[in-house]
Amino acid sequence: MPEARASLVRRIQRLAGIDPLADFDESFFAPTGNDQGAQFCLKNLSPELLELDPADAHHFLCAELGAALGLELTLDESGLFAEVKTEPQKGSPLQLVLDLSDPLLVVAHYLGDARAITRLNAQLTAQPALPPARLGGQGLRDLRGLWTRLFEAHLNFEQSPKLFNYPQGLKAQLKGATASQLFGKLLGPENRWVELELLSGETDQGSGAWLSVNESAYLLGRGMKTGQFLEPVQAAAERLQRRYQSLEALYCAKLEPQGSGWFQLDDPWVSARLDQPIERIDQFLRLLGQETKSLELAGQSERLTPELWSLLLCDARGGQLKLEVSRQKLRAQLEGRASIALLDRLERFLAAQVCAGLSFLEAQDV
Amino acid sequence: MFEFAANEQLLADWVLDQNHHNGLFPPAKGWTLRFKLFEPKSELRPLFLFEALSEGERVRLLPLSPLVSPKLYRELPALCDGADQLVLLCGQAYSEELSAKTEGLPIRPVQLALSESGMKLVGGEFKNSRLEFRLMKTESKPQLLPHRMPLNPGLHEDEAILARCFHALFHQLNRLWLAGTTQAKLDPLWDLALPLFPLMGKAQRKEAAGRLDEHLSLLTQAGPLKGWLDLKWHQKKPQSQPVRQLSWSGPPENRAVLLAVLRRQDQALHLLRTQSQQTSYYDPETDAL
Repeated sequence: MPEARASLVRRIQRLAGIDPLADFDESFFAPTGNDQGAQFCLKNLSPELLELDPADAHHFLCAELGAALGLELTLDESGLFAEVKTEPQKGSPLQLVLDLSDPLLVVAHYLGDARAITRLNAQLTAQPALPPARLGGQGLRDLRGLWTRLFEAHLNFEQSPKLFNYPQGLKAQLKGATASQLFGKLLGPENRWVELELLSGETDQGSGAWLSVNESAYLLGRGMKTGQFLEPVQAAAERLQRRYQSLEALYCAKLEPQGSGWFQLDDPWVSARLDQPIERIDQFLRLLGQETKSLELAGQSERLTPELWSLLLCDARGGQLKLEVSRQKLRAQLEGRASIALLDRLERFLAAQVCAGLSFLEAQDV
Repeated sequence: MFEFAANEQLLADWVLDQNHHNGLFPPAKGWTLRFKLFEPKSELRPLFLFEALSEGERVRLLPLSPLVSPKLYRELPALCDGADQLVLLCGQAYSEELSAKTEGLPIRPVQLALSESGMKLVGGEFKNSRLEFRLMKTESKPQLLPHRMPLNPGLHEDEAILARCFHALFHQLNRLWLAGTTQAKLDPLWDLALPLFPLMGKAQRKEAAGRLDEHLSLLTQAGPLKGWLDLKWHQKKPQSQPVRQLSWSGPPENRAVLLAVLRRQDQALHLLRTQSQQTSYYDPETDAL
């Protein structure tokens, strides 16, 4: 992987017109005027594309994305990187490099004006083939070491009034020099109503270097060298790869034949405990299964016992998820790689509207 | 008060839950658990048979419900061959009847009964006294027991299991429907929905598939699924095996259509669960009086 990463650095620098051999801080002495962004997405290829060779699948994916976004993505000879450069009539050019080398994650690197980057990124992550990965509030807390001083923190948790009689929540945007101190207080272990959405502030990468990271794995850097910006990107990538690789290992239930009619059942569940019991469980089942906007999952619920419901959910991309829900607990079973995006969506919904700081992997009881 | 009644599926889930660090057969002590579909000679219902293995120890567990035929009890001694002990599991409501039936047998099986508060020993004695000790410690209440065991379509006489079989079928239908398909063969759909279906014997499979078909054609011809789902039989030649084909209208145009179909499926499940013999169905939201 290091070679691929180094070649990516060279590629981005070449695109931006930076000489990789020049040894000076261009962000200060010769500002390029460029902001940089990186977005981690899941590689959610449709079943037709999965049957093809990776290189062919990447070609089709680029054609599909190019048509949807109105860009001309060109894939290089290795079939692992796609790049595009837009030359708008006014403003600075915007460059995009898609790193397709990882089997699970796609990384989109941007160079250009921050506003244009954010706009293009919103269009890109709206594509069903590239749903944004989930760093989560816990992931953001773990990346706290990237900043020397925090200037902005967004908290986003508000229990849905449909599910609770007395919904709780903590929604806030902290800005300014005091954000850093408040942040320390808010993230104490006793505070369970805090769900982090965005952190931004100064890093130690020279003067004026500014980094912001949000929970859907979108990093934006200002006034940083490309090589420096890739350090936090690398830190986020390691964390996300750990998460998705372990999720991929927790696949669907398997029946393992043992000869003469005997079978062994291997059925790992991903499970989470809900801090506050859900008061209106019928509404909860309805929200989960009736293709609401944030979840886009459809399916029936079936009452297994007076306290336990089973939900079989699917979406239009062929992903499926098996859930068992009680008032205090939730178990999920994945059915393959396509289900991971569904689990992410579910986790995002639960963390923001049901139980802050929820993380399936950490709450797993093995 | 009603005594707790349990079907074979729930008892099987209880057994699976015991292969856990504070269950009856903890994997840390070297226990592994496996199962097979046991097909008794006396009936067409394949039953679950579990085998817990440890060093030199082999315990077989057989979940039973009141629906098994009385002839089955004569086959029980043969199940003990090669195993140290046979354990019969049942719901509390069935435990007295079961002990009366096993009284005259040449073997003395251990009998466990599941009640609302957990599993209790009601007859026989464990050869390994540690199992009895661990049983006292287990606290898995049936209300929150994870339903891990794949569904056994042979147990369709129980309404709860029948409804769950159809729940799984509707899930597969919805997947195809949302992806834009408009028709599918029924047999592969059942195999996808119920992973134990392909493992059943030929006669048992035919019997179970026939019963499920009856329910499905009732739902599509006169039940709530009428108008959305259509079940047809195709035959190439008069003497060839018929192929059952399901067809439905194309992908949902909007969320309202999707919700209407989900509601119909929900009504179908309710119908199966309550087994009310309703021949026509009226949905006030789709067709006004």
